[in-house]
Amino acid sequence: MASDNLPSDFDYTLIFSDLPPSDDGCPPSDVLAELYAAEAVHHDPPSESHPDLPADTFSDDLLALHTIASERRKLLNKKGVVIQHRLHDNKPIFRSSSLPPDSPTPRRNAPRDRHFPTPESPIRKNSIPVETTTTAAAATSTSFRSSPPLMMMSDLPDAPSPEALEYPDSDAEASVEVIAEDMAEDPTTPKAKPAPPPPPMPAFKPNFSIPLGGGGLFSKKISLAPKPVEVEEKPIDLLDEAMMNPLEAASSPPIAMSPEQEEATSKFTISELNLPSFLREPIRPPVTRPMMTGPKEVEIVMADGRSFMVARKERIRNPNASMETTGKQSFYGVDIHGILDDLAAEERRGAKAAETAAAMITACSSTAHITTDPKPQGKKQLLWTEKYRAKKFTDLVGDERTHREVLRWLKKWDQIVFPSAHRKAKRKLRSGDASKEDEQEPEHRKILLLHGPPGLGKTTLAHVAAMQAGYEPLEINASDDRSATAVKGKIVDMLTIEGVKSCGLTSGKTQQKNAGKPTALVIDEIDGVTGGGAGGSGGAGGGGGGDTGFIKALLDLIQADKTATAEKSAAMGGRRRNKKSLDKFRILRPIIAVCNDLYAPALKPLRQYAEVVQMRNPPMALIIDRLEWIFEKEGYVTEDGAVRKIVELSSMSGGTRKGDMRGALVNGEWIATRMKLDKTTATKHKEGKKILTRKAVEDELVGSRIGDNDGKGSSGSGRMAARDALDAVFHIKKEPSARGAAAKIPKKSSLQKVQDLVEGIGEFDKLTMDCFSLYPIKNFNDDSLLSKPNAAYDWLFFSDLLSTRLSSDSSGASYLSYPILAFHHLFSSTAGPNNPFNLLPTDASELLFSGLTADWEAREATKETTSILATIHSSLSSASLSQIFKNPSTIAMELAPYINRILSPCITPVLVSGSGMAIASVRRESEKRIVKRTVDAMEAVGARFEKVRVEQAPGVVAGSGWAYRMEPPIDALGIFGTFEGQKMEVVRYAVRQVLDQEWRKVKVIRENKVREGRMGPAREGAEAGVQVQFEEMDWKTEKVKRDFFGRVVEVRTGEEGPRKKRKTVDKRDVWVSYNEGFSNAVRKGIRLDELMEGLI
Amino acid sequence: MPLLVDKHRPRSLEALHYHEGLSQRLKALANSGDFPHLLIYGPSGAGKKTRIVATLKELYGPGAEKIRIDSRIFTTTSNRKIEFNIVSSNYHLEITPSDVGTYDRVVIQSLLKETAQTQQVDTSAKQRFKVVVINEAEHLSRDAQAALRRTMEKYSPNLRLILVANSTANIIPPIKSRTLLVRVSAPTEGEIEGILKYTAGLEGLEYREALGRRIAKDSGRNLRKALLMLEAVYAQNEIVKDDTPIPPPDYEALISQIADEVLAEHTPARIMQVRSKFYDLLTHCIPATVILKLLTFRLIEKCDDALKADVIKWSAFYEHRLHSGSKVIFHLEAFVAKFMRILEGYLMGMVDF
Repeated sequence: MASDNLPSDFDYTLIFSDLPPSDDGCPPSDVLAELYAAEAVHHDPPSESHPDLPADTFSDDLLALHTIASERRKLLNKKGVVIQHRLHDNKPIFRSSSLPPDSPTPRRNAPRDRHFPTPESPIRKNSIPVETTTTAAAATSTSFRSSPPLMMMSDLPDAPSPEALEYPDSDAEASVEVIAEDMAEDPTTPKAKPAPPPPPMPAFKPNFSIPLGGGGLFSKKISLAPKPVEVEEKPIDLLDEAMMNPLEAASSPPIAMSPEQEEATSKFTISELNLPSFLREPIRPPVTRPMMTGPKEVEIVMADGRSFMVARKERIRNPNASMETTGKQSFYGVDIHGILDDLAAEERRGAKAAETAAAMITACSSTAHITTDPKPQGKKQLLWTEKYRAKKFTDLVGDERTHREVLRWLKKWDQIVFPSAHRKAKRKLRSGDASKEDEQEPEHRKILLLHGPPGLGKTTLAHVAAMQAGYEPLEINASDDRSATAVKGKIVDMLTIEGVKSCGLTSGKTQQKNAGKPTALVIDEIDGVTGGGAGGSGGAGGGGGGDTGFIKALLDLIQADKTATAEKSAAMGGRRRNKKSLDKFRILRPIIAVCNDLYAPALKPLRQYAEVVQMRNPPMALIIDRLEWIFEKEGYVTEDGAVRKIVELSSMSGGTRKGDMRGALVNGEWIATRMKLDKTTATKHKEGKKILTRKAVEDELVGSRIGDNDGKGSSGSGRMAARDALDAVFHIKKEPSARGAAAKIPKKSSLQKVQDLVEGIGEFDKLTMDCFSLYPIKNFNDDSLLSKPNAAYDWLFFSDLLSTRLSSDSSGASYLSYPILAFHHLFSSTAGPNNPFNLLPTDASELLFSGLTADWEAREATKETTSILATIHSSLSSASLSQIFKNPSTIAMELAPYINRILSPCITPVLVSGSGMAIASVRRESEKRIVKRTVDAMEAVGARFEKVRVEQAPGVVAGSGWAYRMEPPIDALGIFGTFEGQKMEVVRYAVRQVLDQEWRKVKVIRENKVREGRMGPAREGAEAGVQVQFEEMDWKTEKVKRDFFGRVVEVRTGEEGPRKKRKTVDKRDVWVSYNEGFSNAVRKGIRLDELMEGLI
Repeated sequence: MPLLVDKHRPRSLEALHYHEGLSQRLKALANSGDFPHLLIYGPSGAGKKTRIVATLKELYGPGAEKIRIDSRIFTTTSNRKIEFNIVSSNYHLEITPSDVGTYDRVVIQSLLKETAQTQQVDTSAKQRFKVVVINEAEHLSRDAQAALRRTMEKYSPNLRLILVANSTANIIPPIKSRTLLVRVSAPTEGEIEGILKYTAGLEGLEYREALGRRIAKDSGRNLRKALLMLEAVYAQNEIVKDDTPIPPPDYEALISQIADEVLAEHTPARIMQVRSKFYDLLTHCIPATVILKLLTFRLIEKCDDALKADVIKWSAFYEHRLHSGSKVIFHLEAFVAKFMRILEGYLMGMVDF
C-alpha cells in the first residue's frame, strides 16, 4: 500500500539514493541507522495510513476490496522500483526463516500478531479468549488484541496460512514491518499498520488467535526461546505507554500503527540498523531488552551492548535526542541550517581560540605590540565597564548590606514565583518557630526601588541579584519606548503570562527539564521617565501622578494587584486552591526599579508602594582592590597608590559623592589606553609590562595645565577645569619678579587670568558656591574683625541677587564672574598647597554638610525631608488635623518634634520570653495608660511601626538584627547630625514593640467595629479580625470548614468521635479536592478517608 | 483618639476662650447678613484658623463642618498641569495657593471665577454667597493678588473671601483696603495656662500649675505648640511633676548651640562649623527666617545691651536679604559673620561698623 503514495516513494528514493546500497548487505554506519529509524517513524504513517483508512471501516466488502487493491499495488511496486528491490533484500533477510511475503494482508496480520504475540503477557491472556487450538504462543498472541482491529481483519484472510503468520511472529517481524513500511517495500506491512488504534475488535480476536497460532509456529520454527520472552516485556511496556498517552498516539500523524507498535518498530529498526548482521538472522532479532526501570523510562539495550532509555511519555525519547531530530531533518534531505549552524559554531570556537591566543600574545608581548589601535584588533572591544561587570553575586563590589537587602527582597518572591519550593522550605521551617517570624514580616511590597548616585552598580546589582535568586532579568531602560500604553502591555505580558520558556515550572507535576527561568523585570533609570507629556519636573503638580504615563501605568498595576490580592486572601477563607478569583491581574514577578534620584517628582507616587533600598557607597578599599585586579588582568603593573589615586580622583568629580566605581573604571581604562599609546612618557617598563605610576595618574587626571586643557581635554582633565579655576582663584603663582611695587602687577594680571578662566568655564553658580565653600579654610590675611569675610558675603549677596534675577532678565549675565573675582581679590594668596582639595580635611566626609559637596548634600537631604513631610501630611488621620498642619514647615517645627516625644514614651516594658521570642509588654496600670495614649497619637498621625531587619555596618561583626522602623519616618526629622552633645536617646526596641502590638490590637478592634457597622455583627468574633491567620488555619486542617458562603460546614456527626481522635493524632492529612454538585460552584477539600468512607 | 490640638478645638464662636471681643464681633458680622471680605492675620498658633472655622459654622450652621478634600488639576498657560488640593464643604472652599508656587495666579483666576460665577443653589443655605478661605495669603504672588482685586468686587454677591496671613506686610494695599482687617493676637501666657488647665481637665490629666506655666512660657505664646507640648509631656512621662523637664524641640536646641559657638569664637573656621549646622537645619525644612529669628534672640540673650540694637538691626537686614535672594545659606552665614564682627569690634572698643 505504501507504494500507492507516490510521495512516500519519492521520499524514499531521495533518501535512500544517498545511502550506499550496503544497506542490504553490510550494516551502514550508525548514522544511517538513525536515519532509517527516523524514517521508520515518520514515514510509516503517511504511506500506510492512506490505504489503511478504508480498512478501518470494518465492512467486509470494503476490506476485501481493499486487500485486493493493496495486493495488486504491492505486486506492482515490487516489479517497478529499484529501491524497493533494494529494500526487498532486507526483508528477505528478516524473513529468512519464514516464507517470502505472500500477500499484503497476511503480513499485516502477521506483524501485529508477531509483534504482540511474542510477548506472553499474562494480562492479555486473561482478557483474551484463548482458542484452545492455538499453541501456547497463540495464547500469548491473544494479548495483542489491543492492536488495531484492522490488523485483525486482515488477519482473517491470512489466518488460514499459518506460515504467513509465522513470519510476522518473531520480533524480526516487527522490525521487518517497520522497515518495510518505511521503504514501501512491503506492500503488506502498510496494510497492517493502517489498522490504527481503534480498538473495537474484540470480536476479531478469535481471528487473531489464528495468526497467533502462526506465532506459535514461528516460535517452534525458530529456536528463539529466550528472545520472545524479552520481546514480550517490551511490547507490554509499550502498550502501557500507548495507553497512558493516547494523545501522543493521536498526535503522530496518520498513525497506521498503534503507538506501541510504532514504538516497537522504531526501536527495532534502530537496533536492526545498528546491527545489520543481526537483521539477517531473523532468529536474533533485536536483542532489545526492555527493562521496566520505572514508570518513566524504559531502558533498552541494544545488541551491541549499548543501552539507552526510552521515556514512556514520549513516543521515542532516546537519550540521544539527536537521533530523533536528525532523523526528522534527514527526511527533508540534508538540513542546511543545521550545517550552517554547526559551521558557525565551529568558526566561533576557532575564533575564540584565536582570540584567546591573541589575548595571550598581547598580554605577553611588550610595547612592541602597541599600535595606534589601543586594543588588540582580534579582541572583542568591550569597555572595561562592561567587561568587568559583575556576573555573580559574589563578584559584586559594594556595600554588602545593600546587596543582601535586595536579595532578601527577591527571596520573598519565592512564595509567589516558586510556590512549591517555597512551601517545602516553609514546611521545614515550621518545625521550628520560624513561622512566627514569617508572620510578622511586614507586608511584601511588589516593587523594589533601588536608588543611589551613579556608578555604584545599581543596575548590575539588580541584574545579578535577580539571577542569583533564579530569575531571568529583563530590562526596560530609557532607550525603550516608555509611553504608558506601550509599557503597560509590555509589563503585563512580562509579569503575568508565563513565558514559553518558563511554562514548565508552573505545570506542577510535569517539570520539564529545560524549563526556563521566570523573569524579573528591571526598570532602569526610572527617574528619567516622562509620562504622557506632562511628566517632568517641578514642584507642585507635575509629578503628582495625574498623568505621568509610565508611573501611572505602573501604579495602576500595583493597585490592581492589591485588590486582586485582597480578594484572594478574602477568598482564601475556606479553601486553599481557589484559583478562580485570581484571574484578575496580579503581579507575579518581581519588579526592580533603578533610579538615581529617589525624590524625582515623577517617582513621588511610586515611593509609597515601593520597597526603597538605598545603594550605599562601597568601601573605597574594595574598589581599589577590584581596579587593581583589573589592571593586573589587563596586563599592567601598578605602582603602589596609583590605583588609589585614580579612585580618589574620579570619585571626587562632579556633585556625586565618593564611591563612583564606574567613574574609576572609566578613568582607569582611559589611563591605560593612554599609556599604551604613549611611548615616550613616564611609563616605565618592567618585564615587558607597563607600570602605572601615581605620577602618570596625576598627570592624566589632574591635568593641571591651565590654559590648554580646553581643546585637548580628555574627559578627565575637562572635569578638572573647574578645579583649576578654583585653584587659580585662591592661589597666585609666585612670579619671580614680584617684589615691592611690582607686587601689584601680578595681582592685576592674575585677576585677568582668573576672569578668563572663569568665563571660559561658565559655571558661575557652581564656582561661586565652591568659593563660598572653600574660603574659610584658606589662608588669607585679615584683621580680627572679619572684614574680608563680611565683604565676601556682600559679594555673595550680589551674586545671589544676580542669579535670582537672571531667571527673568539676562542683562546682568556679564557680571556673574565678579563675585568670583572678588574672592580672588580677597582671599588669594601665594601660600598653601597648589591643590585646593588637599586642604580639605581628609575626614571631611564624616562631618555632615562640609566640604565642596555640602550644598549638593543639603539639597538632596532637603528633598528627602520634604517628601517625608508630605507623607506625614498625607497620613494625618483627620481632615481637620491636616488643615491645622497645612504647612510643611509647621509640621517640621511643631508637629514632628512633639510627636516624636509622644511616640517615645518613658515606659519600661517587661520582656516575656514566650515561645522562642521575647515579647515585650507593660504591666503597670499607669504605663498602660501611657501606651494607650501613645497609640492614640499614632492613630491620629497615621504613624505605624514596621519591623525590619537591620544590617549592621560591615565593620561590625554583630550581623543583623531586627528593628522597628517608623513609617512615615517622623523620627528622622528629629535627628540632627550636627547636633553636639547628648542626642535624643534611641527609642528602645521593646518600647516600639509594645506600641506596635497595641496599635495592631486597636486596629483590629476598629476594623471589627467598622465591619459590624456595615454588615451587622460578625458571626464569629474571633474570626473577624486577623486575616493573616486564615492561611494558618487552612494549613492546620482541623479548623472549621466553611462552605462557599463562609458558613461553617457541619461535620457529619456519625463517627464524629473516632474521627476526631484521628485528626488529632496525625496533623497532616491527605486532602482531596472534591467538586461537589453540578456546577463546581461548591468546592471543598475533604479528607481522603472521608472520600473512602463508603468504600471501606 | 486624635491629638489634643484637634480633639478639643473649639467648634463655635461661643466656645472660644480668649479674645472674646473679637468673637462677639465676628458673631455679629456673621449674623448681620452683610458679611465683608476678611483679612485675618496674626502669628501662628494664635487661633486664626479656629476662628474662621467657628465663623463659618456661625454663618452656615453645622453643614460647614462637613469637609472633604478634592484634588483638582489646572493647566497653566505653558500647558503644564498642576495638581491642587481643595478643602471644601457645601458652603465654602479652602485653598492654599502658595502650594503651587508661582502658578498661584492660574489657580486664583480659574478657581475663584468658577466659584463666583455659580450661585449658591442650596436654598436651605443660610447665606447667598460662598466663602473662599485663602490660606497663607501673604505668600500670594503679586500677580495673584492683582487677580484677586477685581474679582473681589465684581463677584461679591456670590463670593466672600477670607484671607489668612501671618502678617499683612506682603499684601498689596488694594487688597487691604477691600477687606476688613482682623488681627488675632497670640494668646497671653495666662490665657494659655487657662486653656491647658481646661484641656487637661477634659482629658482627665493631672494638671500641674507650675508645669503649665512653664509650658506656656516655652511655647512662645503659640497655643498649638503649647498643647502639643502638654500632650508630649504627659505621653512621655508616667508621673508628671512640676519640674518634669520639657525638652525644647531639637532644632531649637541646635540653634542654641549655634549661638553659643558664635559667641565663643570669631574665626572663619568657626563659620565653617556653623555652616554645616545651618545646612542641617535647612535640610530639616526649618525656614531660614525662623532660624535667623531664633538665633537672633538667643544671641541677644547673651550679649551686651549695647550691642542688642545693632544685632537686631543686622538681623533684620539679613532677613531682608533672605527674601531677596534664594541662597539662604549665604545670608545666614553673613549674619553670623556680621555678628562676629560687631562683637569683636565692641570687645576691641571700636564703634564703627
